[in-house]
Amino acid sequence: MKRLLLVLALPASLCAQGYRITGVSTLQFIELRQLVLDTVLASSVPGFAAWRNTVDGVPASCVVGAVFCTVEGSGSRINAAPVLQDLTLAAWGWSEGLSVHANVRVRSQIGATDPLLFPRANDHLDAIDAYAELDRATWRARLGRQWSTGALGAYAFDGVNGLWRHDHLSAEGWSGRALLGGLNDPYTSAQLAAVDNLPPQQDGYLFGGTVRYRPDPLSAAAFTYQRILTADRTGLYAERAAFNASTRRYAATVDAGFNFDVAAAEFDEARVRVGTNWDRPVVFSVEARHSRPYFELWTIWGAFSPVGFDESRVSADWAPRGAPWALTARGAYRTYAETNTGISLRTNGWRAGGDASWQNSGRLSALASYDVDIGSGASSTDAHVGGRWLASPDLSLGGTASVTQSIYEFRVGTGRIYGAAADGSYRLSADIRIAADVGLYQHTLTNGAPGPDWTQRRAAMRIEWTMGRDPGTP
Amino acid sequence: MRLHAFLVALLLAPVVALHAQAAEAFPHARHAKLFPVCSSCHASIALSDSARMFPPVALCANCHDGAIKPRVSWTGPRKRGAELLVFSHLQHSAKAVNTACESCHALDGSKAWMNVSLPVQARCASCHAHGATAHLDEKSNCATCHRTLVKAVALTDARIAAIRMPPSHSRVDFQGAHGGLARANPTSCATCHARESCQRCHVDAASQPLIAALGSDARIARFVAGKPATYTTPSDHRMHQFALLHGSAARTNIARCATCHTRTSCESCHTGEGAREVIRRLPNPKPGASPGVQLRHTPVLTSFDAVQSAPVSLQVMPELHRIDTAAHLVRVHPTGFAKAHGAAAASGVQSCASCHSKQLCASCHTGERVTRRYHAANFVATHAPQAYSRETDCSSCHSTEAFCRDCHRQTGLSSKAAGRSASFHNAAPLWRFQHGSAARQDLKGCASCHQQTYCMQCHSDLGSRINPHGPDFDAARMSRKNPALCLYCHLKNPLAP
Repeated sequence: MKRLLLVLALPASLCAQGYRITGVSTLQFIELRQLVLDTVLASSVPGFAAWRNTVDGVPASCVVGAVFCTVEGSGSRINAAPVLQDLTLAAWGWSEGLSVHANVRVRSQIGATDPLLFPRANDHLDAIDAYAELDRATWRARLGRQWSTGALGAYAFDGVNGLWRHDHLSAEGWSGRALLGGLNDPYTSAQLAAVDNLPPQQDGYLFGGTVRYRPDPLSAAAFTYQRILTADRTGLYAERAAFNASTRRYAATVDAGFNFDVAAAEFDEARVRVGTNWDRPVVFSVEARHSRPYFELWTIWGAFSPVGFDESRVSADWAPRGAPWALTARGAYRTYAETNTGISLRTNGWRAGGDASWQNSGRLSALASYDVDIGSGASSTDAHVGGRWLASPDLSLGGTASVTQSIYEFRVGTGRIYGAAADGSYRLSADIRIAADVGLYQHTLTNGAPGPDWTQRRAAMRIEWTMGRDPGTP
Repeated sequence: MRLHAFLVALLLAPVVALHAQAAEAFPHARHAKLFPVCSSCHASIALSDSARMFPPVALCANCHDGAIKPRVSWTGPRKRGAELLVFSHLQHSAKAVNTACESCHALDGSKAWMNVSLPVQARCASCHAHGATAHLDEKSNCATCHRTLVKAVALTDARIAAIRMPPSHSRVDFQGAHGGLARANPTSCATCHARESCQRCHVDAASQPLIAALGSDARIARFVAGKPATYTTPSDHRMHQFALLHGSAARTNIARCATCHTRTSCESCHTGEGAREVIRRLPNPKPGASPGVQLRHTPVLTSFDAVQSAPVSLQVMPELHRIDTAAHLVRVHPTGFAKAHGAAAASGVQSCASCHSKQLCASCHTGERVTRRYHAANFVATHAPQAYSRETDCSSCHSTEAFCRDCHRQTGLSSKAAGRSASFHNAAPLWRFQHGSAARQDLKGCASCHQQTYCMQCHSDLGSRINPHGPDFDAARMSRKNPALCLYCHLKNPLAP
């Protein structure tokens, strides 16, 4: 299908009135140490239980009577160098409103013999989207691989999409072969089968629609319904609905919405956010939210009765008029629903943080932030400070320093990571821009935490280029 | 006789007035004893008879013959074309109550004979004030006394450059208000301005009848050449909801936008499919014409962007603390919008497609960093708490299986086999008995390492038959939605009779 879409899209563009091709070449270098199993002499591990700690505090798993215990620790330093090449094509001009769009991604990895394979690096060719579009004053139609983005998230599919708009009302519908979210491959893809030994056996077919009403420029509401059928139509992979409404009237910002899992009859997300919307230096907002993990019906996870949490959020932003600086403070508290397992781990969590930003004339800017996140599963404190200098419209340089402390509830151990990163970008010409960043991190493990040593170097380089012209320009 | 003499002087005045800046004026006072009446030299000036406004050269030569008095080089009035001032002695002498020459030309009210000068502008304004309190007052009707600059061909570049700017033009709000003033009294503008004056800033000058009516003038073109355009940001552009409202304003009155903005202005943000119908009604930038307001995005520290959303605002920030500049920095979305854009995108209160192509969504939602850094540089090391708290939904961009699980396997956090032999969950030796609570609270965390079959070792008919369903589990509903799902764990349909 990928090749078919490309075969259709590329020749069509050759006879177009105009075209525009954008390329993004990205090369990353990531270095890390894997968490590996090792053995130590059982006699060197104090105690006699099956679970005990080494003299260094590292948890060890010992079999009674065995000579060795197993421990986990950081392995030797390895690295990955994934390469991404994105090509985006837009061509137009055959007829009024007719255009062709394609976004192709090529992946590879330098040093393929390296033991670390970056996720999806072996999925060498991917058509992110490739579709033809006919756009008229009151309607628009698309055919091909495309994205449906909205309240339910981003869904890719091979099919058709139609949009009708009239004054304050618009309606959109889409249908086609569904692609896995975040994977952009069919449900029966080998990519999924490679990492899950119980993958879907059938393709999915997507049907969805959205009705949107925008009574004025400051208010809007939308309702979305979508289902994914199995190819044999005996079941569903997903059935969801969503409603969202926003208004910016009466000195207030109100955003409300929910995502409803029709298959499980549960709300995945429901939130109401009210904020001040006035022309004053201080802006407040409060939010009530319910969140529950959502799983499609090709996995058994939904049958494990996941529970959600209710969360309250508050924030305040202070940006005095004319002042180059701004302050933000935020906080959130959440409580989990009863799990009915008879055992209770932590059932609440909270977040607090703030940041200060400074921007002088747009050329120099700086930001410092501090966040604490304590909750079930994992916790962390994180501090950042950074700055950016726009030396010219073409040259941008930035740098950050960070200190992070992680506490893993499900795995005893804490660690601190001291990091420094720098990035820069330079526009070589109107159509070519180059960007790069590097980072150095020092990880200090404490309490004998058996996590991987995250001491590492990271680097990335990106080249963006454009060929062709914008529509309407000579 | 004296009356006639003054009339002659009066008639001479406008002609001599501006010329006097370049050439030495006739020393009337030194000739006071020679001429008892003005008409001795300026005969017929009251009749606007240009041929006899000035004395013949021979009259001067009667004395300035080199013997009685030194010769003078004056050869008679030069023909220079139209001046900026329009004055008719004939009309004024016919209407004036006091037609004595000295009523206008006497120097500072002097009574001395022939102690005269050009009349000051205040003298004109004493009758032609139109409510104005000074010559360059805003209420002045320039056209009463002046012809348009385009027609005043006698003015040199230097004299045009020396024209004083009215005080009103220095007012802070003048730039914003000058359009209305020009429409109310276009002839006043034309006294000092030509089409090129306006073209320096107005990108739609060619299509504006008011500007076209000014006419073109090479002297003004030379005068404004190289001077940068200046724009004052209108007050409504500084409103915190301008990002939401400017679209409606543009659709209603695109002509107003076209005063300062070319299509390029809009397309610095509107790169998507929306707003095309409106934007294409704006002029394209043309070589030699004003490029209009130049917009560019503010740099943002995206690597550790704040999480919370703030009211949507478009901030127009003058560059380098200047009020008037052609270059403006624009920040459409508030800090943290990348992580909080869901509500605006889902409801449609902001039309994402107006400025963004689908590729922007794909640059993040396909789960790989391509052009944007959504997460902080050290995010991999800190992502666990954010994943647990579902501050943002990881699966909206990443496949739990193909991205999270794959990476966790690559880094050794999860076993590539069905289970693992060591103690990853070492927080609790009794983890196996406690994991149910943690799993229900964050099952995605489990799935980011464990495959379904791993859990099925215990939670299935083929395993230990430990029931994973909660008390509110609606088995019948799930079976209706996907009956095959039950058979993953159950050997036969558990709901069948």
